[in-house]
Amino acid sequence: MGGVGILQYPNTPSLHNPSEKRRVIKTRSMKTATGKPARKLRVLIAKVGLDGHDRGVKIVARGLRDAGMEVIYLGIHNTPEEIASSALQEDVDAIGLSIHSAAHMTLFGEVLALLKKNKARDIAVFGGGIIPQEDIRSLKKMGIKEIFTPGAPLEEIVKFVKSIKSTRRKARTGNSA
Amino acid sequence: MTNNLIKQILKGDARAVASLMSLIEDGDPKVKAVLKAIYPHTGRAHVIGVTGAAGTGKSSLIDRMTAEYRRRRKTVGILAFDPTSLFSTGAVLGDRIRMRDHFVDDGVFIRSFATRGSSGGVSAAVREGIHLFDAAGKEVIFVETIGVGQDQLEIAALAHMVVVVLTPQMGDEVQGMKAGLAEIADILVVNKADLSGADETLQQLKASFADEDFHIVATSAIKDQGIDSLVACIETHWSESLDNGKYQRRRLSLCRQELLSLLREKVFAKLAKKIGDDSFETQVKLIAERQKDPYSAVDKLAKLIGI
Ligand SMILES: Nc1nc2c(ncn2[C@@H]2O[C@H](COP(=O)(O)OP(=O)(O)O)[C@@H](O)[C@H]2O)c(=O)[nH]1
Ligand SMILES: [Mg+2]
Repeated sequence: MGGVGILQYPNTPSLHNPSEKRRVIKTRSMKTATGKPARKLRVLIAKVGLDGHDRGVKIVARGLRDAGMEVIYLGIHNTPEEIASSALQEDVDAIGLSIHSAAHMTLFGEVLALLKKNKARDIAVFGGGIIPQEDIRSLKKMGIKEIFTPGAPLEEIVKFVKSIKSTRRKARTGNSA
Repeated sequence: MTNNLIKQILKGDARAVASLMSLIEDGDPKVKAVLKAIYPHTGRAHVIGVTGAAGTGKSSLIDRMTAEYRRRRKTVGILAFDPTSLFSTGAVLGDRIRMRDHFVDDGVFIRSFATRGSSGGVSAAVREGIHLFDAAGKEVIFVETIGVGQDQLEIAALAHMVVVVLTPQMGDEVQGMKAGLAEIADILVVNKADLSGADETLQQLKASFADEDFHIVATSAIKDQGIDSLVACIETHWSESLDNGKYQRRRLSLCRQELLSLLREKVFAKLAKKIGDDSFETQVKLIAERQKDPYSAVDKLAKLIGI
């Protein structure tokens, strides 16, 4: 808390942050436990394919939210094109896809290809679904960061997403502007 | 690097727009340099605020209106705000999911935001996001925000016109909201007109607001009904405002509010630095211990900087 309630007021810069730069970041984003300003992880969560159950993805979306992330929730029946263009516009750090379809190799592959085409391979893609071990190995070789099979504890998924280094934001703030 | 980014934005490049949007969202100070460069290319877009309680169908309506504007060959930018969770600082942003028809349309750019707690920060981010879409060539810009009345976000101070979305279930509540509605709404929409009670709500609204100069429209976003009348209504209001000087006054007022809030931020930051944390905290403690009242404390702090 630091005792400076003045931070809480709208349009009221903090007394704690003499430099303009630190002030802006601190008033608009939340502080981590260490007291350092943190940029928010933005994650797109969606289901791809025809299967219409959304319970699982909703639980993951809420779990990530409860861990302090901003989740763009796209629900069920998304195509790889819809996923990729949404991820680009929303400028997310990661995409989590649930795929319960025999076509998982193709679908994941299409998403990766579309990201590559748009020079956005730095967006981390992970997934969940009933996927055989050997396919998991191939998917990881293709560039999928992690696959969670049914029954994977929510904490594990949260921990994984948190560990994703936000290379996109770093790249942007480092030299793009 | 910045020059390149600016060029890309003015060309409407999605990646460039998306990444500047993120800097805006994070309150990154680098944004200002880019905004200065693109500002001369703004001022062309029509900015429509869409507000109302959660679940009234704002996102669904924006989706349908966007479809109508696309038929009219207009490009569209959408800034959709959802509240940050009170408990975790995270958020589930569920506006985009209602706008699926436009995901792969190059002429539509949708960006979801979390409010991240501070309404001052949000207002600044909305303004900057609007300028960005405007410079990138978006002709119609929708800003979706939650709430009416004690709205955290002063949507009327950010948009050219405000559409307030109500539903048939809100019949009685509307009476209580009357003053607030009259203050901010240019157009009232009774959405979910496919549900029972819609006619009564509509009649009730028309009666209550008989002497006000705004339009009331019934729609069903889900059945895609009444959307063309709503868009026609928006366009009529827009061209009337251009003709009767209302738009020019509004525009002046938006610029005034933006400049005022930037000035307030800058001046305060400067003076606050002069006061310093220690003197501020000392006064806070004295007040808490009832050794001092806040009114004398503020006089004391002001004196430190010669006010
Ligand atoms: N019956 C009915 N439901 C609607 C209509 N428009 C939206 N909804 C539903 O209302 C819920 C909230 O819609 P949404 O657009 O997300 O509302 P928002 O929170 O105001 O943005 C969703 O379940 C929509 O399907 C409508 O015209 N009629
Ligand atoms: Mg919404």
